[in-house]
Amino acid sequence: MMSVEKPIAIQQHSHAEDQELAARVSSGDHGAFTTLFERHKSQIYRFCLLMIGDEAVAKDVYQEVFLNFYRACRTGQVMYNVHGYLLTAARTRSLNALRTLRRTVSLEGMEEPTYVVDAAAADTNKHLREALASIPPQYREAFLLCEFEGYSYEEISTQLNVTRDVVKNRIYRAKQALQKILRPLLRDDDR
Amino acid sequence: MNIHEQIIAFLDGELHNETQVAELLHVLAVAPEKRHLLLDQVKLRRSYATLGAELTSPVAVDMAILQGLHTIDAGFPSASIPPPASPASGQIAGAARFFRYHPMLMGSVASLLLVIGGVIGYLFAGGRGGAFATATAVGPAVPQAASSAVSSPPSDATADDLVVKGLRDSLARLQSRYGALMAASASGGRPAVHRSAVRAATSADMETPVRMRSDRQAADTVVLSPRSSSVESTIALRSVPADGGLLGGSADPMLSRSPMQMEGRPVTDRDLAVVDRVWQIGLRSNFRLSFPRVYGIEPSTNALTDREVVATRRFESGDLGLRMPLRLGVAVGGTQFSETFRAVGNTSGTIAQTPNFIYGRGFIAPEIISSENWGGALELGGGGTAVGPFVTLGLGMEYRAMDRISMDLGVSSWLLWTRLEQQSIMSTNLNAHVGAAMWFSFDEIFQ
Repeated sequence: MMSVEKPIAIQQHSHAEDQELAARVSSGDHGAFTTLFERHKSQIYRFCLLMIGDEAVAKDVYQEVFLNFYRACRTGQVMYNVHGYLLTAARTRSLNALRTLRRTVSLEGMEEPTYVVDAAAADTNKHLREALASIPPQYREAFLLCEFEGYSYEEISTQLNVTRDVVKNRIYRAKQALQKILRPLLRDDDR
Repeated sequence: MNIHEQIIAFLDGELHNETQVAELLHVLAVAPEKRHLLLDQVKLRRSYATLGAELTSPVAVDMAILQGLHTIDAGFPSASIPPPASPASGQIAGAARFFRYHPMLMGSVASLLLVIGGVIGYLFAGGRGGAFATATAVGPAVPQAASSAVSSPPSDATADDLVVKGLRDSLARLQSRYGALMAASASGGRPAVHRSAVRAATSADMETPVRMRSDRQAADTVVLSPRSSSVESTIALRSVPADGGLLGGSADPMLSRSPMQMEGRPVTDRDLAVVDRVWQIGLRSNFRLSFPRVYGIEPSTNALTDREVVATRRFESGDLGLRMPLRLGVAVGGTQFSETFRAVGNTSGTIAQTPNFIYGRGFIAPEIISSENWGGALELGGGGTAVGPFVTLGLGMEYRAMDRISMDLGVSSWLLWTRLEQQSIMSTNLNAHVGAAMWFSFDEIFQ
């Protein structure tokens, strides 16, 4: 089987280690929380920001995720998969925030992305973020989980509670849309 | 699955079928336009990696989280953020959260207040069981010597406590402007800043509404209590036209860290919380029309004057999960009952008398009307006298004419129980009152 290394590896810590740290948090070990926070904060923030697209709202969601995680630990909730818990919380809250912002884009809008790249003003990251924000949230979350969080299609299907084929289709549509939106930028590189 | 899908699945390591992989590689080898699709995706993956690496959580937000945890759990280190002005603020904020999630406890607290009121009343009456026997004699009542002692109110631990995350610049500007206002007020001979002259913007994201006393000195430490630093906040000084206008009736000056957004929309006046004295003590006197008429006073009348010392704690809507502002208070005062006592279960026997009581009471008063100068509240209370407990129910309007002075108008009803000669006796009393009160904050008295 051919495989390509994921560009962003995330699983640097074992679930068991995180679980033990979470258990220590529940017993009042603040240092354990700080360790978990340092481990996962960047991924969670990145997910919130790219999922929501609005920096201020993403910051709020990011904070809520960790504050609620701490509360959950302190109330004795057992954390078998800390990263999964945090990511699920981030995903749920991000989708809620998006609903509030009413920035959801209909699935039909997929074929005609609203964002148009101005290749002359080349800021690839900015264009990429804007392009991401213009695709439907369902596609965006599957894409982010795959491309930025390093999950396999199978793992994403479990996370999102959909079939693997649905995940594959969403990721394909997301990447196809991004490629279409960012094409001027990509081809500009060739010149 | 088309070629594009296969390319993406391949790059994601999700193309497991060897035959499909072989076919894809063949197509890519012979079709330049398909290779372009592959190259585009490879470039995009590089961009994703670059973007992912550049996106890190802002330090300020991380610190806000740790500070938020410190607020939730006082034992949590407060990171590198300076500690709040008062060590009690975190505990109080924690208590507020506790109540928010346990609203039933509010009822218990209210009940406790009533009990405390009763105990205070009993203590102030000196536990004199014979007081009622003296008072029951029909005829002119013998006024009891009123005690001027007042029980020490609880200390004000939260009123001016802050916490500040991310608002220091705004606060500095606020203090600067506020100090200038105070100075202008003093030099111009104008009255002190109206208690409602200072407002602070709060948002739903704040755990504790901003609190500030209007008579705060510019040099005082002021701390705000937002839950996170990411909440863009505005602190504003506002003139109050009814006050003669500290700023000559000009538009409200705003000190802001613009743009302030709340729930995705610009902040409006309704997001601004009136900053008020949180703990305050008042001296209140009411001219009362009592029904039934007071017998035993010559000439017989139903016009009386009451007086009481009251300590209140104000809660803004949002505090403790409240939907409207609320005052909790305890009071000690003297009043003359004008009533006809009826034996419970025995309607034939009545005792007309005019006991002159020292009472202690506790009350809870949700504000049904709350504006700059007007307040309307329903007041449910209870307490005790030397002869027995009572409960009260009232409806009152308050006009805050000046910074310290308020005018009161309202109606109330008292229900008193007692025992006499092995009989339970109950009396009701309906009052209409008009009066005035003078208010002081705890800090003014105890600092």
